[in-house]
Formats: sequence, C-alpha cells, structure tokens
Amino acid sequence: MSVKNEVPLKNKLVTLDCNVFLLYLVGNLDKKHISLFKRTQIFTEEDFEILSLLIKGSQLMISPNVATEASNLLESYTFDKEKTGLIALQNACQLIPEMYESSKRLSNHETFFKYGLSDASIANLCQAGAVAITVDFPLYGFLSSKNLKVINFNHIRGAYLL
Amino acid sequence: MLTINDLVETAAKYLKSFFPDSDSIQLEEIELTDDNKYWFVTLSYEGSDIPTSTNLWLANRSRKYKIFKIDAKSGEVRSMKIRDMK
Repeated sequence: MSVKNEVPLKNKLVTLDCNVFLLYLVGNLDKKHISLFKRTQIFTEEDFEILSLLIKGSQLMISPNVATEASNLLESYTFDKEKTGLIALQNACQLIPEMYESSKRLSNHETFFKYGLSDASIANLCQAGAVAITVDFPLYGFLSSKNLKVINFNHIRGAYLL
Repeated sequence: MLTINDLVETAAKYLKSFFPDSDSIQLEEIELTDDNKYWFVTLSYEGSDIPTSTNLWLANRSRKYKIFKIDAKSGEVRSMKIRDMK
C-alpha cells in the first residue's frame, strides 16, 4: 500500500493497537521522543510521518482499554521533569472519540484468552467496521484470518526499511 | 547503537544467506526485550516448497515466516527460527 501519494483511509473508521497508538501520541508531541521513549524505540521518525499520512482524513477511534494500556506505559516517561508521556495522552484524549464495550462482553470474545482485554477491544471495533492498524503479528494474523479489515503497519514500513 | 534500518537489513541479509531464492521479503514484527539485550525481528518471504514443477497450475511457492534474535549491542544474529503464527 502506497501512502505518499494517496489517502487510503479517507473517511474510514480507523483504530490503532497500543504500540501504534503510542507512536501516534509521542510523535505528535515531538518526533524526538520516538527514540527516547522505550516503547516507541521500535519505530523511526519516518514511521510517524507515514502513519500520519496513512490516517489523514480518517475517523480515528480508540477503545478505553487501549487508552488505559497506553496510560500505564506512558506514566513512567518523563522529560525535563515533566510527565511528557501523560501529556501526550491527555492531548489525544481531548480529540479522539472512544467506543466503549463492557469487560463482561470483551472477556467472552474469542480473542480474549489469546490476546487479552485490550486486543479483544480492537477485534470488537474491527467487527463494528473499523480498520485496525497494528504491529502485533499474531493479532494481525487473527484479524485477517477472520476477513476483518486490518493493516500490519510493518508491511508499510518494510517498503522503506527493506 | 543499532538503528531500526540496521536491524531489518541484518535480518534480511541473514535470511538471504541461507535462502538465496527467498523473494518478496516482508517485515512482519519488531520487538525489543524488556532487558534491552535482544531484538526480535520477524520477516516473511516467498520460497520454493518443492522443486520446479513442469505443471504450471501446481503452486510451488508459499509465504514462510522466520524470527531472528539479534544481539542489541553487537548486531550479531543469535538465532533464526520458524515463526509460529499463533
């Protein structure tokens, strides 16, 4: 999928897995944080630019489960004595709508015992029509095997990393 | 320090050295261990399953998955294993 000359997800409902969401949050604050924050060290600044192009014009939506997982990971990240990680999350929470599903229902989802509550919420959003963007290989495999709309962001990165 | 580009290139070169006919190599996943000692890079590729067939209708290539364990300090590939889809 080429993202530099087109807007592939325009007007589409899009959701992000936790790692991709962290890249989006941290990169939006300042791209320099991508290599400083441990959880986004698997990405480059170019990855953030490509992700931004990919989701441009789309309707981004997250689950509270992914936001909470992101919060747990971001709370330890400080920069210049500021809670930089949580500031990034706070900024995003003001803008990105959430779709809630009860833990009761998500814990009965077929993905729950394999991938946990957060990924079950992503699968649930996918089944509601969202396109999931993930770097989680097993989750990608599961969602694509169910013919759900999912993008392995690594496939896009591979075009310039390989 | 290894860059993401170095890591992916290292894994792809290693793959090619063992499977020269590997084609359409794709990046699937990158992980860093909690202790920062190792990177795990998963690549997929198309490779021959059976010797070239004269029956063109018989598919003889399929996508395979390999996971590479790379030393974060030295950049040395420590292992290459079949990546389970589970």
